[in-house]
Amino acid sequence: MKKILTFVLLASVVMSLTGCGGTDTATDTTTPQSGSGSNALTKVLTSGQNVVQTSVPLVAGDAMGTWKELGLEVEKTSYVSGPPQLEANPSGDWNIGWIGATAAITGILKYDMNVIGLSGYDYSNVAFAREDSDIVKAGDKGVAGTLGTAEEWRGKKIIVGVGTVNYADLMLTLKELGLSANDVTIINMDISTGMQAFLSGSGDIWFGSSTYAIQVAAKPGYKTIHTMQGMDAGMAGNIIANRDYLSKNEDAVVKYLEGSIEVLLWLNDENNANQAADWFVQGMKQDFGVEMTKIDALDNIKQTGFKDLKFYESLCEEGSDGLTGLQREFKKFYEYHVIIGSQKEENMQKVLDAVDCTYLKKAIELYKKDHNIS
Amino acid sequence: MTNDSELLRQQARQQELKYIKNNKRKMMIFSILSITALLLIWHFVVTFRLVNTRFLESPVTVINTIITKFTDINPDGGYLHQHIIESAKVVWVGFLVGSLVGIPLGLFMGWYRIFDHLIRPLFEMVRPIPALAWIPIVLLFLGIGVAARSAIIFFGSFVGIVLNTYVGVRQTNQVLINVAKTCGASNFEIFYKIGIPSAMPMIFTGLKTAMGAAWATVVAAEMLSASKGLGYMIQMGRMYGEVSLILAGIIVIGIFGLISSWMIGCLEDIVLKWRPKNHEN
Repeated sequence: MKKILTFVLLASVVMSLTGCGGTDTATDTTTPQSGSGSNALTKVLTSGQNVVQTSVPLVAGDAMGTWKELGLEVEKTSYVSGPPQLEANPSGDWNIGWIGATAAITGILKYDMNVIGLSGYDYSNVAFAREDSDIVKAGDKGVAGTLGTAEEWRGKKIIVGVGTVNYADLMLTLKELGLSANDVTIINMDISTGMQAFLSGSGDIWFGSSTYAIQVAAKPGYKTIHTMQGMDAGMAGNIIANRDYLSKNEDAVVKYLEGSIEVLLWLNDENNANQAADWFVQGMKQDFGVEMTKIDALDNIKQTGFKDLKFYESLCEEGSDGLTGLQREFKKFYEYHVIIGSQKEENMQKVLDAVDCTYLKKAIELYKKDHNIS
Repeated sequence: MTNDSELLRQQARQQELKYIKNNKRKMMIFSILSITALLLIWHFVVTFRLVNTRFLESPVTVINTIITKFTDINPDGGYLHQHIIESAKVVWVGFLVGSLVGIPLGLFMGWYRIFDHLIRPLFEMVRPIPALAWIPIVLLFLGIGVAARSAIIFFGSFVGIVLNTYVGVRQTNQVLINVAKTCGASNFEIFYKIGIPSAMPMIFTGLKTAMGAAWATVVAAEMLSASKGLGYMIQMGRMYGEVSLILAGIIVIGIFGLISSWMIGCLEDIVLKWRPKNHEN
């Protein structure tokens, strides 16, 4: 009797696992329509993070009704960093995401994603030390964008979120200094917890960005010891989507990108910086519970390099190396990650094959047509 | 006559020991079979794609990752043995502090009513708080080092120790207490000579449970901050989308949780050698 019961239990476990599904595509990726009739809006689930280039375009697009005018109902979910954002995609939490370069690479290699566009370039990545640090005392010793030398940096406890753009910034900095990860102690903490830990006296150096970096900069006793801008190594926010979703929803994707271009060009206009800052403050409060002043938000906006239409057109042009502008830009980001050892050179072609500007090209054509631009 | 009965007693004892040994061997085989069965089912499920296999690696891949991690620091920057040592340090420190605090607390709460009434309301408030919830407070007071991570483990393990110790001492046989009283023993003597030994089986049950909870909490503790550790390795696997690394970390945590529980079991056998061994008829 016991043996029969054991067998039955085992069999039901196996059968229930069978019932979990046997396909690699976990969710239906066809975009639903909301409303009825010819005016039905196409629903697109989108996602972003807590930095300007992956947050403000979404808030702005919603506030200005940009996507609605194009027949899209866009719903937004926000994430504190790239890894949880990527994890949420297979279950259908979002279709098109705005994400940092480091996580975009993981998205391509592990989550069957394609990069279909670029947002603004983030120059807000910085590092701080306490003002009594030997790095601060050493001053500018000629290392691009960085105070101190290898001697002062060696052995330091550095708080940073591993797998993020801040981490890539740290690794590039160490490389510039002639150091490796083994020469320092890297303490992995997400950006907000890391900032709190640093401010409460832990760690020697903190790598951060965006609103968090501005908060630390405003506090007495802390000095900026490194800027990514100083190394001329800014990385853009990326627009990504799952390949299966892209193949089944071309129309919605192109319209979404058309709306995105409109918003990004609007953000490129300096005259709109104030409004963008208001929306950034609003987005950070609503989505992350973070209070920031408008002045800080404005600083953040100014540290983000949004581009003009010519730039986006150049992304779709193929160069003599056989790469489109979009591929060339993404190749730069990927090369940073190869240099710092977090990615392998042999995956370069696979990554570049997943950088696809066909939707962007169509989106730009539509944008120019709708705005009577030749 | 006396020699015959002595001989018979010895023979009976040898038979009993032989039976216990065979029984232990049989139980060990059943345990190994159950783990083997689980691995086979897992392999079967992945090979025949009975579930979404995009994010589930086969056990062969995971075991390969475990072996490779002993000599490869990528992508998380550490070797597997480094991660194991770091996590074991944090777990054992947190667990030992939890035991040193929890066992006396449980004993006194269980034996002395005044102590129970004094401490119980505070304990009941602390009991439902998950270990993760302590992270912001621990961060402020203890920073981000081993002490902070061990504190998270402490919060995860000490509740179980207190509860089991409390129940153990409360279950002291009243007949034994009455006999001791009749013999003129003081309350403290009864507590020390009868209450505590009576509670030992339950204390060890609490310790084994707490050790499991300690290993289960190590991932949360290393989320606080870490540069090495199995929880850190799992986090890094997550950051880079390396499912085999995540599963490798989970399995290694399971293995070391098992080893730690076995070590407590060995200690229990030594301390409680007076306890009659139960075996099937």
